[in-house]
Amino acid sequence: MLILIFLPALVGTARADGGVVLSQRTSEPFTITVFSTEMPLRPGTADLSVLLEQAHEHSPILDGEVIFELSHETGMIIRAEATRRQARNKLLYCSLVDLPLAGHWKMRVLARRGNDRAELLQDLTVAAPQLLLLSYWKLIAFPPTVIILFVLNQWLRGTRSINTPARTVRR
Amino acid sequence: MDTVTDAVFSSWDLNPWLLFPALVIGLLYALGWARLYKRASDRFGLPQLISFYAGLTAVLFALVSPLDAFAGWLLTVHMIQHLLLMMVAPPLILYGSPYLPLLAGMPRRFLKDGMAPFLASVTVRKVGRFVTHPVFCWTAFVFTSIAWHTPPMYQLALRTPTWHAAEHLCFLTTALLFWWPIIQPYPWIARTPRWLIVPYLFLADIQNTALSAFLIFYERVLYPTYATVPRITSLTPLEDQAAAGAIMWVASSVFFLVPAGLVTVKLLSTRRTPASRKQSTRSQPVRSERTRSVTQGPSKPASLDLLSLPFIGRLLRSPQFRRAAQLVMLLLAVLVVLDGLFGHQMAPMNLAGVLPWTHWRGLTVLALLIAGNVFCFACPFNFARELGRRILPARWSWPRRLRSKWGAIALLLLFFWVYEAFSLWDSPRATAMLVIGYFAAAIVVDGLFTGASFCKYVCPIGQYQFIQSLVSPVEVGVRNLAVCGTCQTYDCIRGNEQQRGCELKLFQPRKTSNMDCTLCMDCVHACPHENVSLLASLPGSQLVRIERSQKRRNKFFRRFDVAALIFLLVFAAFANAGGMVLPLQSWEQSLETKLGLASLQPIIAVLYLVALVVLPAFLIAGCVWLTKTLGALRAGWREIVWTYAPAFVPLGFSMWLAHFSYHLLTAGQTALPVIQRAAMDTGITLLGAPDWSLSSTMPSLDWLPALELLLLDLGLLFTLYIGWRTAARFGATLSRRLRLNAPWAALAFLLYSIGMWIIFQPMQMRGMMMMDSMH
Repeated sequence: MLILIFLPALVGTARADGGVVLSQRTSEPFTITVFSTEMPLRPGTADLSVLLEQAHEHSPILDGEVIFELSHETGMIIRAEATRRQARNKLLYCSLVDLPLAGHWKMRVLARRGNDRAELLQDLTVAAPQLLLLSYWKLIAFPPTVIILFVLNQWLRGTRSINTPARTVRR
Repeated sequence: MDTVTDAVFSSWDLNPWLLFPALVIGLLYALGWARLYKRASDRFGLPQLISFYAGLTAVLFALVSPLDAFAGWLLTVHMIQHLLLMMVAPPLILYGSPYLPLLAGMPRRFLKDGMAPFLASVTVRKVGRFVTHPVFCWTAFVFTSIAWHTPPMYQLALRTPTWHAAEHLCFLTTALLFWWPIIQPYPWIARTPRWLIVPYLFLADIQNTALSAFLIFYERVLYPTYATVPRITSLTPLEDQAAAGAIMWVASSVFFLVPAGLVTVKLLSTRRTPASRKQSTRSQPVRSERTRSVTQGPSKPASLDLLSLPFIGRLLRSPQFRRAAQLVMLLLAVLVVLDGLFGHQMAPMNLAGVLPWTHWRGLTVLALLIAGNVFCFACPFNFARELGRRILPARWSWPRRLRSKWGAIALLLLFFWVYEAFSLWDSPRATAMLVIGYFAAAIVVDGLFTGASFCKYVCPIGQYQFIQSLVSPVEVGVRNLAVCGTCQTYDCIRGNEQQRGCELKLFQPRKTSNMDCTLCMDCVHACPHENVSLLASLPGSQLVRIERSQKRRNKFFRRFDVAALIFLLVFAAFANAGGMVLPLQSWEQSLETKLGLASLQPIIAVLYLVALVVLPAFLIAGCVWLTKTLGALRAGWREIVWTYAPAFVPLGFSMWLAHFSYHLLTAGQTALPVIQRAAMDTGITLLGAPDWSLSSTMPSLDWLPALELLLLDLGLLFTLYIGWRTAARFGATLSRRLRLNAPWAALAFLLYSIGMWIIFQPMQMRGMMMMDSMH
């Protein structure tokens, strides 16, 4: 029984790879594919990554430069560089972009390798922020879970201590 | 430049949230296995050890290797990952018979008090028997396998990390159950004939064949995600799907049919002799030492004697080491004073605006958690105290009427109000004046009065340290109480010709906590038997001891002033953190406008009076009344207050820790440009020009609220645990303890909710050039 408790706990903490293709465009000489770890995007840190490929051969480019430019409808502009160092999948260029506001954003991805340049334009909708209770539900549920287990533990100890002398008498 | 192959094979995700639990499981197994190997090497031999670690490695490989990084791009890779989780890892882990080794590896106390009631429960055993029954195991495995391969479920897992983790969780759990009746890990006893395993495996293979065939022969891409992701191999999405089906078919069939064959051969060739049957009936079930200890009562809590450690022990014992630490702190205090008085008066650019409020507070509270009362150990005010004794008579005893914590409580209240009302954190000159005032007070108090009156009755920092160090893992204590029983001289408290005794009048054999202990080590040096040492145990173990010792009339924790000090510091933790929350500040400012006041100071004074005196008094009085009413308790109200007060220390400490570590982690880098600026001002150019961008940009720490919430969670749980133990003093039955504890638990939850609200509010970035920031 114990192993059923221990090992799944290990798997449950794993960061799964659930990349969703946000946009893909061939813009000579590159094909740019943009991924996000989760949809819909919400205010907070967004994990945006890019696969840069040769337009015709579809071979990944690993020595390029990728910049994200995100502009909000209110005029706010965020610029962030995506690097392979930040990516788990080392074929990708990744950037953890802090999106402070919900609403409509315009995303511009600039890719460069030597003298070759390409860009991708895409509209992004950032949904309203999730309820904090939902964002941190694991940590908020942690104390009640421990309390329930503890009360159960105490109840079991109580019933055991009540039952133990009775058995001794019967013997 | 990397090649594509290099990039693929370097796509590892060494996620600490994954590696740490794996390390804990591995460590528990190793500890338990080492114990059991001595008792039953036939059941817990090297093959079991190797098998368990191979299984654990397979799980880790599936989750951290490039398999996981590319599972979303290629179904074949995803299939291999799932096969590792379902077919390779579970049988290997179960062959390691992990049940007893994992139990035996756990701390004795946790096993006895925490796990044993569950393991001995009839209901839990029934559930265990039910879920390991072959019919349930087979059904769960097959159902999970089919359900997660349906396109909507598979797509859900591919699009959402949380559901992907849930998918893996289901696969591993049900696979462990599936392999359970086949491997039959010790001490599980099979309740069905062994021959049933053959149809068990065959039927599973039929289901697997049908699912694989569907993947291979279906003419469209079953999971649309794989049609949209970039292709990094020459396989088309449909070819990829067929290849994944083929892998599933062939590999899984091997895993199903080979054990089926082996079991068949064994059943046909093995005939149990009467001798072997006799032997098997005589074989004793192995019970681990830990399991046995469950029935043998508690053992003495283990503590590590730090002074007996090589090098560290000598270092800690050395008076020169303590003096050097004090000198460093004195030097820093002098620099803070000089820069505060004569340096740039913008707080984020001044040592007095940054070092005390961002770094010293954060590091001190972290030191309390990791070590102990390090600040008192290295206290720079000791020089002032010694100076006072030299230049002033130092011959009076501290007035009898003031021998309590009430004076220090009043000073703490004053400090909390001054800090917020006069924005001490934003005024280097005021900070410098405060430090100077502190030195002056130390000189005057210890220059006039004997003993460590300043530390014991006056110093607000000391009182804070004493209370918070109740959760610390390090304390001064006796190595062997029996030695103290034979002692006639009591040098630890009286001192001798070479060494003075404890100035704070703590008698070592009766000392149960860090309360009033400045870690001066005088008692360590005074004891002629070398029986006093620096002992390390689990954080918070002192509070458990306090709860026990209260029954034996522990002098500190049967004092109302100490209880008041504890509650003040608990409520102050929340009020102090709440003071930097932007919604509260806006509310204060709107109130100031509404009332037509010239400054915020009266509003802050009233708020602090309410938050630190009126509200706590009202809430605690309510708790006492409810405790007496619900629990039909005859104890006096003072006794109830001082009994429950220590239980709240962990919650208060967790809020201080969350608050101060927030400042340290978000503004820790600000020290560098300020030090560079101070050096430049004095003509030292060696450190270079200050980079003020460090003071105006906050590092992206999106995990920080989660960490703060976790700290608060742990504080709440520990408070509830100590409260529960405290309730046992007044009532033995479960329902009575629940009734007695309910009001205090409600108070703890109220404070926890306030703390949670504070954590998620936009904060004023004190000590930085950007003042307001979203958390």
